Formats: sequence, C-alpha cells, structure tokens
Amino acid sequence: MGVLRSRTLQLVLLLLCLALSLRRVEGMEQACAVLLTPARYVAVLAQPFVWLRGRAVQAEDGASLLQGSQRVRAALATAVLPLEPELRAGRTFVACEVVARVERAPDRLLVRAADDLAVRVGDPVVLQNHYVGRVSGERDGEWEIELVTARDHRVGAIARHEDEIARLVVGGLRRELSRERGTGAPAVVLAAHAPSDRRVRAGDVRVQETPDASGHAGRTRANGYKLGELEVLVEGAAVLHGVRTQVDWEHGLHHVAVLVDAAPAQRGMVSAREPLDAQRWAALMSLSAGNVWSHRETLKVVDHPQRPLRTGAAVVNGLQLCGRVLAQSAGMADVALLGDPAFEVEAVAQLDGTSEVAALGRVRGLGRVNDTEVSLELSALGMQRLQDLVQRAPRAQVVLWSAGSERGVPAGLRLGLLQPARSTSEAVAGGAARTVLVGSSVVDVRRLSVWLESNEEAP
Amino acid sequence: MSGARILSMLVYMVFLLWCAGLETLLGDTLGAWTPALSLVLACAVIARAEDEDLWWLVPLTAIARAPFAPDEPSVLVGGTFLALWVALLVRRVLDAAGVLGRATTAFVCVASALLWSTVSGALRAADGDGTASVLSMGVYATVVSAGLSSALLAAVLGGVLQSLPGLAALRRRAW
Repeated sequence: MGVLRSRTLQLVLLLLCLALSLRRVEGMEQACAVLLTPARYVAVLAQPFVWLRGRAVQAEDGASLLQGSQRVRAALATAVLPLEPELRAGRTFVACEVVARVERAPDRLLVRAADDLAVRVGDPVVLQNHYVGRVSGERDGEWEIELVTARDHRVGAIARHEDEIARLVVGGLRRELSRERGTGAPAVVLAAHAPSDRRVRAGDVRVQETPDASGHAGRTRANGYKLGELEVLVEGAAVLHGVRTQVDWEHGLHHVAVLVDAAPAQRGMVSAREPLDAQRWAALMSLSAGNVWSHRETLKVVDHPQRPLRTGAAVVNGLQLCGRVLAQSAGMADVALLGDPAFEVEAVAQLDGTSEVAALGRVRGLGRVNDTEVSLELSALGMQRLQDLVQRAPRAQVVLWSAGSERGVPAGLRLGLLQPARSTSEAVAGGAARTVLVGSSVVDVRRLSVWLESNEEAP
Repeated sequence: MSGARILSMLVYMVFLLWCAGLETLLGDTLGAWTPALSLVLACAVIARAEDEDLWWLVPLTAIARAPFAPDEPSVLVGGTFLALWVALLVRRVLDAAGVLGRATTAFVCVASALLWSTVSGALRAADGDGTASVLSMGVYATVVSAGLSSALLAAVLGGVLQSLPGLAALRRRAW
C-alpha cells in the first residue's frame, strides 16, 4: 500500500503519461485503447440522452434534397465537356469522378468511370477545352490517371502565334505551384521541351500528337485540346519555354472526361459514385449525442472490429452531409460534424434550382453558431468564386454541396443553404481566408449512415 | 477490496456516464458555459478519497468519459490523470468541504483537462499525424467559461454530489 500511496510514483507516472500522449506513440495508443474498451459497452447506459437529442431535430425536405443532388451531380459531370464545338465533334466522352490522389504521387489521380468497359489505358483525359493527362492503369476498380504535370509525362503539341508555328513536347512542371498575386489563383507552368522554333515566344499551345509517334492511336483524339499559353522564362543564363495552364490543378479536378474509342459509352456523362445507391450506405449506431467540449462538434459511433470504418468517410442523414469519420479506437469511431474544426471537405456552390455551380475548394468547419447554422471557412479563391456566383443572381438561394474528388465522400451531398443576409467577407486569422454561415440543423443522431466505397463491404 | 466498494465504483461510473450525457444535452443551450458535470462529480468523490484511490479513479473516469470525448485514447487518459491529480493537489491545500475549496478544485480540474485536450491535439497536428488542430483564441475563452460554470456548479451542488447515494463506500477520508 505504501507504494500505491507514493505521491512521487503518481507524479512520475503522470509525467510519463503526458509525455507519451504529446505525440502519437502506437504502443501507448493501443494500451489506452485496450484500457478504454469497456467504454464501448457501458455507453449503452447513456442511450436515453441519444434518444432525447434525436427527438428535438426537425426532418429535412427529402424531395428537394434529391432534386438538388441530382442536378448538382449532373452539372459536375457535364461541366467537363468542351465548350468549343470542334473539340466535341466526332468524339465520345466518358465522365469520371475523381476519388483520390495517389499517395505520395500528387500528379496521379484515381477516378471512377461512369462506363468502365469503354475506357482503355492510354486514352487521353480532358477537362472542358483542356488536356489534363492520360489513363495510365487500373487498380481495384479505379482508373489511374497520370496528369500532364507529372515529371515523366510527355505530349506532343503545337504553339501558334500569329503566323508563327512551333512544334514542341510538353510535360512536367517548369515552375511549382504558386499563387497569382491578388486573386490567390493557383499558377502552374508546364515544361515545354525541344521547341522546333525558339523564336516563337508566345501563343496558344494545343495538343498535336501523331499516331506513329505515340504508339497508341487513342492519343490523337486529344488533338486540338488546349495546354495553355506559351511563355518564356529566364532562369540565370538559360532561356526556357514554359506553358502557363488555366486548370485549377489543386481544387478544380472533381470530374474529368476520358476520350474513348468511337464505340458508344453505355452510361455517358453521369457521376460514377451514386449517393442514392442504398447499398453504398451502412447504418451507424450513435453512442453519444455530442461531446463534452463545447468548442468541438463531434459524436461517437460504434465501430466494427472486423471492418473498421474508413477515416474520412461521409456520415449522412439522407442526402444531408452531417460529418466525416475522424478516427477509430476502442471499438468506437469519432465523427467530426459540420461545425467541428476538424471537419473539412471539397465543396461546390450551386444557384438553387439551376445547374450553375462554382468550385469552392476546401471548406473547413469553424463552429456551430446556433441550432440551425454553422460557420464555415473558405479559401480566398473559394470566397471570390462564391461571390461571383452570388452576383450572377443576387436573389437566388445558394446551396453548398460536396464536390466529391476525395475518398469516402461522393459528390452531391448537401452541406447547407448559404445564409445570404449574414454572409460576411471579413478576414479571419491569417487574412487569406473567409467565413460564411450555412444553414444546417443539429444532427439527428438516431438516423445516421456512413458511405462505403464500392470495393468495401457493409459492416 | 470489499464488494460494497466495488459496487460503489460501478455506481460512480454510471453517475459519471449520466453526467457526461447530460453535458452533451446542456451544451446545445449553454454553449461554452456548459459545466463539466462529470469532472465536478469526480472532484466531489476525490474530496473524500485517499491518495491511492487515484489508481482506480483515473481509469473509471476515463472510461465513463470516453463515449463523449473527442480525444484520442492516450490524450483522454493523460488529461483525466492530470485533471484528477491536480484536484488531489488542490485538496491538500484547501478545505474540500468548503464552498471555496470545491469551486477552486472544480475550476483547476476542468481547466487543466480542457487545456490538455486542446494543447496536445495542436501538438499532434503540428507533428503531422493527421490530428486536426482546434487551437484558437476561442478555446481559451472556453477554458475560462467552462471552468467558471463548473466552479459555480461545484459551489452550489458540490455538497449534494459528495453525498450521492451508492457512493458511501468510496468516502474513506474524514473532512
């Protein structure tokens, strides 16, 4: 008993415990998770609080949510088609929804195609009038796309400036991602190799592949698609050619289109991940109606030991995005709800009832303002795009939706309705970000579901 | 350890669970001023406990708070250990039966648990382990407001919590 009463021993163990919890030490996490395992079971005794919280929540209008979701997904899928008629003529497109970037290879995307049978390795990939890359492989039902920004990517091109023409090869980055002054828009300059005429220093650069040189007939389908504007960069004594692109490589790649062989695509231009597919959702059991710290908005749900919930998976109530799975431990999983500072998602804004959408990039939870509103943080560029959209129809309502392009969150889940009267453009910490208020009710914790990718099984 | 004492520990855990559940409901209306009921109860029990009781108080309190805490397991255990150890420390200095003693113990206990949760989360995020940083000026305001409301609750209801039914076997220490 003397040892147990020792205050020194208590202090030493306390300091050890604190030191080991400052950083993630796997052994310590596992030991603590084992210690907390009974929590998963004793939490059942607090279920009355879950029921009490659930009864206080109003139901959403399911029909309008459904229509809105379908419209925004159709808008995202068809927005990838070229605007120039000559780039559409004689070509067949298959819409692909971006699922993720390949780990440690940000120049490679993983996508899900609306029609897998039509897609082949080597097919060019475009976004509106722009060439963005090539299908480079398939893994676990997902297609891998190598972007033109990848170091080893090469595509034949032609630059035209008035009467001057230069043939060149484009691929890889000449200059890393930087920001345009003022707007904060991403600026990417591709490397232009071996120009046939170095006197050509400006002009429109478009894809110009030849069947013989490429070795894959499909590559010529992208001929005429834009790569960007030619420019000359002086680096020390060297004069280098580069191609300034107009694609938002960071937050603009939610959907892309693959130029497939002339055989008709079965499904065409639809979003590949269908949030209305009931098989893709698994019901969740909430263990709590909230959490004990008022600056957080999280809740605990039951995890499945054989098939743990995927970190980042969307948690919904119908088509209303409520949050994302944050972490798992001790048979439980934390869900960061919309108002939690740990909540982040790629989002688009839509003029309600129309197909007009604007990519907002990443939005982050700042906190719940009241029972019906949360505060979200946008990037400066996202805020500018949102303001442009609002100005197009000042009286229309604006709805925020998930944009997809990340694993676990399909496009077309509603975040909420933008509150126009109280939206602000005040700078928050750092000066570069902006906040908006979004209508989103307190979550009904009794009716939550989690998204399963198609290569996952329901718990 | 007697059967009555083990039963009292289980009753203590159930009370803690309900207190934490009630906190989540109160949070909707009281926001940052929501008192940390479960930690106030833990302080009330520690006021009449012996030093060695910390060994079972820490795991039981962490288990009961786990379904309601957004922290990673090691942060929760470390934070609970810190909060209860600090409460034990304050008890040695102040009269735990008095209003001032109860209020002070509750304030430092709640503030240290909340600060630890926030600071360790921020350090982990800075370390790049995927933890989201929630550190902001608003958090410090929350620490003060949650601490004050908990202190007020302990001052008003601390006596009641110290004499909750079923916990008699845990009260080993005379005033």
